[in-house]
Amino acid sequence: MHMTDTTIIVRYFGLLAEHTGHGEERLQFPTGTTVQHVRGSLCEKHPALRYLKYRVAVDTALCTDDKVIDGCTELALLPPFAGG
Amino acid sequence: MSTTEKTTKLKNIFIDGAITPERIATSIANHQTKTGIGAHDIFLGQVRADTIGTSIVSAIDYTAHTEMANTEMQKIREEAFARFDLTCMHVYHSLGAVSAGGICLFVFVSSPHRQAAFDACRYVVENIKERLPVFGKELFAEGGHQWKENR
Repeated sequence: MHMTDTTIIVRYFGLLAEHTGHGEERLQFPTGTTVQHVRGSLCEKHPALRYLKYRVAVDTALCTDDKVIDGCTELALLPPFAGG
Repeated sequence: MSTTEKTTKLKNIFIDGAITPERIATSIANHQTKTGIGAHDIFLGQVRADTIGTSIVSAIDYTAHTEMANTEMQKIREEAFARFDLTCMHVYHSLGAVSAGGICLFVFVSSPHRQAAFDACRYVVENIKERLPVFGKELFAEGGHQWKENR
């Protein structure tokens, strides 16, 4: 592991947990990795993600694909909300 | 909202299973000492036995990103207090299975006057549905499921 790598916990919720077969996984990415890159990498592991609708939250805040994950601890994949 | 209320730790809105009528009744009773209040508004979300094709929903199994949902709920709470003349506000949401007919969301807002209570209640409910990362697995009576999606 490179000293500046980011280790991030990827959490899958609802339908996504069902399709990926994971609640969460711990993954390492090099410095400067964006959410877009993480998504691409996750699609290779879990092809179902290519056609499922979801949003990404990093450290509990929704974010866009250009967000850099350096120093972050958690990346959550959130399918459509169904509260209430 | 007062400064002291703002600095309190994040409230947990989640409770296991259905929200009981007794909890709602107790919550109403707890406000009888707050005599500055002139109007309450309450919203109760109830699990509906939807028919999907030939299947009937018998329960919804709720999961959530609870830390994120509680953080987002705190923001909605602060927005509601900033926008409306509220005295207090309470929100509960179920986690786990709630059978059709059970209460899964309880929003309770209180104000000196009715207009603020009506407006705040709608604001809070709409924002909960749109912004809280809560997920619902609709369980069918004869087995199988589908994932609910708010419209």
